[in-house]
Amino acid sequence: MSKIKRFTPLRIAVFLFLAVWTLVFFGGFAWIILNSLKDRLQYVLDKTGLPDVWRFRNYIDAFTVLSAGGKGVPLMIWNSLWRVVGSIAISTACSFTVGYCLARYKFPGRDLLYWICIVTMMIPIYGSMAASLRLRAALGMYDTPLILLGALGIGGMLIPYSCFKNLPREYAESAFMDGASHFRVYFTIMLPQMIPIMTALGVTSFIGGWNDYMTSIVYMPSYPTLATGLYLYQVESARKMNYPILFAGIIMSIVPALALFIAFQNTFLEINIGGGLKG
Amino acid sequence: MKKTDVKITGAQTARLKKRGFLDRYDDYPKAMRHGKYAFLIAMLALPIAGFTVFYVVQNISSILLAFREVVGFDYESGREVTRWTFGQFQRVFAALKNADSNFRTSLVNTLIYFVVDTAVLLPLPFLLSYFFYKKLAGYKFFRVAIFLPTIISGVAIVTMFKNIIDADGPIVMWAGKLGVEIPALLYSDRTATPTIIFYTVWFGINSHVLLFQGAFRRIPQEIVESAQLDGVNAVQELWFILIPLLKSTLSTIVILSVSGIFGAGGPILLFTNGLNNTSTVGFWIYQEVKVYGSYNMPAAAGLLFTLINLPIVFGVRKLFSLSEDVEY
Repeated sequence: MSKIKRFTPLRIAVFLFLAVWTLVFFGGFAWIILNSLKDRLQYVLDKTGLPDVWRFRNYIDAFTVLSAGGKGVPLMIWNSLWRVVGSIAISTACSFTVGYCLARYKFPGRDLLYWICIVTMMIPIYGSMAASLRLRAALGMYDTPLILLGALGIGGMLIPYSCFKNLPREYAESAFMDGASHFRVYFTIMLPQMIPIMTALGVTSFIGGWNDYMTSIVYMPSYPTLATGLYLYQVESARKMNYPILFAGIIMSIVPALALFIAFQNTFLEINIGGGLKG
Repeated sequence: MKKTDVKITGAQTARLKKRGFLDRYDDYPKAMRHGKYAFLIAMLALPIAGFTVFYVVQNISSILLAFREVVGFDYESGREVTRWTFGQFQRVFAALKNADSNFRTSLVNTLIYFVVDTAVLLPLPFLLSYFFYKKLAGYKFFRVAIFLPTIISGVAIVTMFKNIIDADGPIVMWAGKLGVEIPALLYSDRTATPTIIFYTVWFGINSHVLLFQGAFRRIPQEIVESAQLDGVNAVQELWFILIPLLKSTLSTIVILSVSGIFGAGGPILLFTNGLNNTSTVGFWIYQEVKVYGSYNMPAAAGLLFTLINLPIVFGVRKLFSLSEDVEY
């Protein structure tokens, strides 16, 4: 390899920037972890020192102390779980089904449907929150688990579409020749080949949904998720806030997403919105 | 190659002429056509119904909301009395003219976020991805580290950040020991928005990094190596080799950014709940609808923003599709 100058000063500057960035990010969370182990009073008096007594109990107390709208942490975790899993199940089922039908079948209106999928994805629509709230209220979905039905639609079909398009035709054709129905071909031959991509998309959506605090605030106030609950606790308790226990809750809320990230790290770093999934 | 003659018999011509409407869509051999439409209807019915209700109906009703106003309340039916009007748009323009209106502040802030995002959060992630591609010392660790803010919830990061820069938090205390006085950043009109902008930039340096990295990885190594053998320097390599090869990714990212002009902003609700002049368009819509129960003016403002954004999105797309793509 030829030796060419590689912006050495810029390289050093970028390295230093990243080093400082990392230090601030991890330093910030180290500070949160340290303070999550303090006594409530010690936190008020001393925000930078080590805990006098290491109160690991804060992590257990968080389950009983933290609450929002009268709902405790266990209920919040349950709300996060059913909401995230439910909406991912519905939206994944829809996006793969639509992607499959568009990629593998010709039918009247196919091109129109494909065009609608692309155009609606491209154009951002602002200010429809009011209409969305009214619609959900009119359909009896507001502040009930039925809100999950809002995940029905044709969005997100582009990655499944291109994956199905790239599958060889022969698999399906030989199954058809053996007399398999369209349903059987889809569910037993085509869909199983999509499991790795489905997992990758599912894990990404899970983390997004787990961290989402806005949906509960806007559409499901009686069902706070963990992210929403941790925000609402800060709003509701104001001066009575128990910071160390809040910090313990914050750290606990990070764990599931972080664990998934570590387990699927390569999937995350390889995922590529522009060209679908690589590798 | 010699063209093969295909003889079409009279019977075949007659059959071709008799082809029905649906036959044009027969791509599979006959054995596979049975039950095709039953399958398609069963599979597509729910997604299309969902799209119709939660996209088409919702957006049409949003447009209608923009042209209505509440004039009273009918106690018998328990419903609001509304009428058709252009008044909502007049309200939007009046609020724009009023320098003290929350709406105008929100729009100005949103545009500031957009400009800063474009000026910093396009070149900086590109630079980082470039140095990751060039295997900067520790790049494997750094690329995981900067990705973490997308894994960790906004509530967690904002709570950490707010408490660290708080008036009695560690930063202010340490700075005080050094004789530097830092004001309560989130509690003054002058510093609150810049602080949140700093937050969005600092924790947003990973934006588009995955896209950039994917694009860098796809660059054929032979091209880069042969250019290096020809003796290009780093600037020439970046400018004449890498950037042209990355053009389609760069244009995708610019189009993505431009598409969301009026959606630019930070986690205002978590930081200040809109106080201290920090509101953005997104937050303003949330506050009007959810907190004040005012549905019509946000719908009108949203419609205007969508209409303004539309030609910009298509214009930028057109602009990028005009210049030739580099094939490799």
